[in-house]
Amino acid sequence: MSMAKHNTMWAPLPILAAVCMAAIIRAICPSGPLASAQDQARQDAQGGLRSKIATPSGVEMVLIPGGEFLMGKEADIDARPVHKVSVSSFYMDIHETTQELYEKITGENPARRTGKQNPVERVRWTDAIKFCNARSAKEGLQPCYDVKTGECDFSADGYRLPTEAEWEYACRAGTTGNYYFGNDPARLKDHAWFKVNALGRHHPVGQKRPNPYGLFDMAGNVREWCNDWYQVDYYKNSPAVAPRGPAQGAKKVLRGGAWTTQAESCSSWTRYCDDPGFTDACVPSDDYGFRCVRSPRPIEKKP
Amino acid sequence: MPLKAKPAATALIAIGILLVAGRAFSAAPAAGVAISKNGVNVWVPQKKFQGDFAVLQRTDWQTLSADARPRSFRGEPVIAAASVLGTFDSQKGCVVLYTRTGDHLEKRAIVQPYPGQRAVDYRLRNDDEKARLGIEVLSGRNRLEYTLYLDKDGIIEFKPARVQGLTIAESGMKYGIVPSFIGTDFVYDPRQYTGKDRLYIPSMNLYTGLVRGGNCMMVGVWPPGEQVVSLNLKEISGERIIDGLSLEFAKKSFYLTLLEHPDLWHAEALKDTYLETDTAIGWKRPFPALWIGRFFIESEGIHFPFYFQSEKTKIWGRCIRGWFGYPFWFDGDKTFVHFEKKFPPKGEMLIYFLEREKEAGEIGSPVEVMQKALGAPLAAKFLDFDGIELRPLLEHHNAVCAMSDKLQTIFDGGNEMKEKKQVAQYAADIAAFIRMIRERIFEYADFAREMKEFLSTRTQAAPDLAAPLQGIRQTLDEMLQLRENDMPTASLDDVREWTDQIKKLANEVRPENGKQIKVLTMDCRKVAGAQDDLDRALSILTIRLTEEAAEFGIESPKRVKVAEAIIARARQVLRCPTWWEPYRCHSPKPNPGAP
Repeated sequence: MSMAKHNTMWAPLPILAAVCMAAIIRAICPSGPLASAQDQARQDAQGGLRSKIATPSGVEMVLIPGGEFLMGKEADIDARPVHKVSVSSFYMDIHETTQELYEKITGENPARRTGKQNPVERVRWTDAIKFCNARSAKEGLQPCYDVKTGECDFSADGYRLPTEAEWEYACRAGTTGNYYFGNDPARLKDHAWFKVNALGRHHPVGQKRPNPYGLFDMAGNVREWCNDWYQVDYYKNSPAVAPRGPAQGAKKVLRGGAWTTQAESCSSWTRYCDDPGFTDACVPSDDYGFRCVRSPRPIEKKP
Repeated sequence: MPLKAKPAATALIAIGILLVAGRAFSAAPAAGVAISKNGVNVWVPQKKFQGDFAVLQRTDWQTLSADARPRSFRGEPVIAAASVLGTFDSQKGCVVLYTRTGDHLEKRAIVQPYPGQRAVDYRLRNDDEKARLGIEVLSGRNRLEYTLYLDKDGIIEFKPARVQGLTIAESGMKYGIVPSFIGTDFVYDPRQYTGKDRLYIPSMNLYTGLVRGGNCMMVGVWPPGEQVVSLNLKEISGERIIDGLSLEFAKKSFYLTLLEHPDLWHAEALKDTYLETDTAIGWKRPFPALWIGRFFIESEGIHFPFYFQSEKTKIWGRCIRGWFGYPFWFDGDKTFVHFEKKFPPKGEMLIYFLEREKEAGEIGSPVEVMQKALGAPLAAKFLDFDGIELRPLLEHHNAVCAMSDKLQTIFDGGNEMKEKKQVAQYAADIAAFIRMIRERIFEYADFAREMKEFLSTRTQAAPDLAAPLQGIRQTLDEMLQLRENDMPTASLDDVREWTDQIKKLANEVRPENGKQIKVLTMDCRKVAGAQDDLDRALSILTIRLTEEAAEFGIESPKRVKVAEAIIARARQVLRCPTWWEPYRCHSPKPNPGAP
């Protein structure tokens, strides 16, 4: 399903969409961490935040209500220990950044495999933050990044990459299994494009089932850059409230599976990393993409 | 020199030595016969040799010079060089091999030629041409079964006469390696073949066995021919090992030696704590050599050997996508390994060596053994040092990305007219580079098509091979599909047009030039990047194909011959790789695309 189709489908029905999303969340995870997320959602709703917005650039974002969750997995050395983390509410693009959007904002399409509604790829971390700033500027928002240093101003209201904690929190959507739909990798094909079903390429965004928050392609299609520096043992010392990763590092975090990865790398907790490409002349990988988040603002135009 | 012959004493003791018919000895009860030449010693002890080297060092031996005459011995001779000792067993017609460190002997293997015949007589051969001594083994009616030659470096030649092959037993090898140099080495771990007692391995003229304990390597060499080679597996005290190797001579010699040195090879269990960390492991290199670390790269589905580097380094796109920290290096006497999310530490890595560095060391290498055994020209055909060489880069030694960056800098500075010649050269190099990689992709695609035809022919002749070859066919299909799907749609004419436009832009300095050059070089980079990825992927699939072929071959002589043909063809196409392909690089440049 193309993004344009999504717009057509959702635009007249924002309330119904929010209700449906809440119903899905209740159905999948009636108790546990999500309960507090729901509570927070209600509070946010009371605070004037909408569950779903459409930005001036025509991008749909969903409100990820703040809350607590258990981050990580004991099975992997860089995902342990499992630890409790809380994040504040934020809006997240429901889709990976498409080539159409990337080109609209930057005037370029670096993707190796082209398709307007396919995720943009071959983007370095540094390309992704430049995009965030350009998108912010285009919408009159305050850019978050100093593109020379990569420093992120979290107080700015513009677009940025999610922190690793935000990404996992949004992906899990209150669930606790390996995937947001449970632990059975056999079901992954319904939720993600990954090595087994992707036929050697990425696909238009939004064709697979979304997660309980309505986020598409979190488990597959392209890996997604996060804002944080990667550190293998970061979870050992990670702050419990809104962790933002190590202060410095050599590699940036990527999350989510991709059309190149096996099922086990598509889990909600799997971490990956690569060079951010500050001074790189080389063409980056064709399975690296991203999606943006932004801090919630009390007033948003209705989609 | 192990034998301290004292002429005066030996002259007296020679009374007890009986010389028969001018060319044969029958040793007297009180002493034996010793012959020494070119660093090789032959003894004929009175009693069966039991592995006690001190017995051989007695001073009361009859010492004779080796001359051109063959000499026959009754009794079981012992032949020794500084590093290797062999003793003959008349009853079985076999040879027991020891490694020798000074006076210390370590029993390493029994070599049993087959069909086995009781040895009736032994005859000394003096091979002056190759500076070595030999023992001819004769069975009943004076029939020559085989000759064993030994040189000062411990290289043994089994030259068959009546025997058809040999079996090496009791060698206790934990891993068997068939080195390939081009592509990957094939490593056989008996623990992975629990239900099997024999594995046929590709006859690629060189075999290296890593013997239990980490201090010994067995090296086998044989000339090109129709030999059939297999590994014999056993379980000893609950441990799966390679008991030895069997080889059908196909009327050609087989060469064997044993290299002994502390810490000669090492298997390292890869722990998850190695992830994204520079880790010093417990093993230390015992001497300078081109040490190899080989492990399974999960993302690519192949095992690949990386040469240890002399320092920590970062590298781009070689075997693994994008930038990565080189996995192995030495820092002083420490051995470092580095694994990343792109190639996580899983399973086991093997550390071994096949070549020494330029300076001669205290111990030979498998490559030197091969060169000495077969002669350098013949060995070179297998080692194929020319094939290991990279395709030459272009004049500016930079790939498309780096040249694009340089062009951008020129245009951003408004220097395009001033540096017009440079611009033209970079543009021409970009076009040439893209053409070169595209031609390489065509080579792989042609290989895949030809290999499919070859397999069709083989399976028509032997339909029973069709099913087991299915996996290899799928890999070939994957190669062709990749070439079809991933080749950039832009033609070489398009690229030439873009690079011509780049050249034209330098005719005049205009404000919009900077933007235009960015667009044009981006078009070129996209084509080049896609081609580089495709080239790398096809190369990796070809290497995977060779591993699949080797695995297919383990079952039978018939299958291993097909495997050998597949591997030989694959090695041809893997020759002279480009920068993006995995290759056996001693000192890799981090990135040809770096500015």
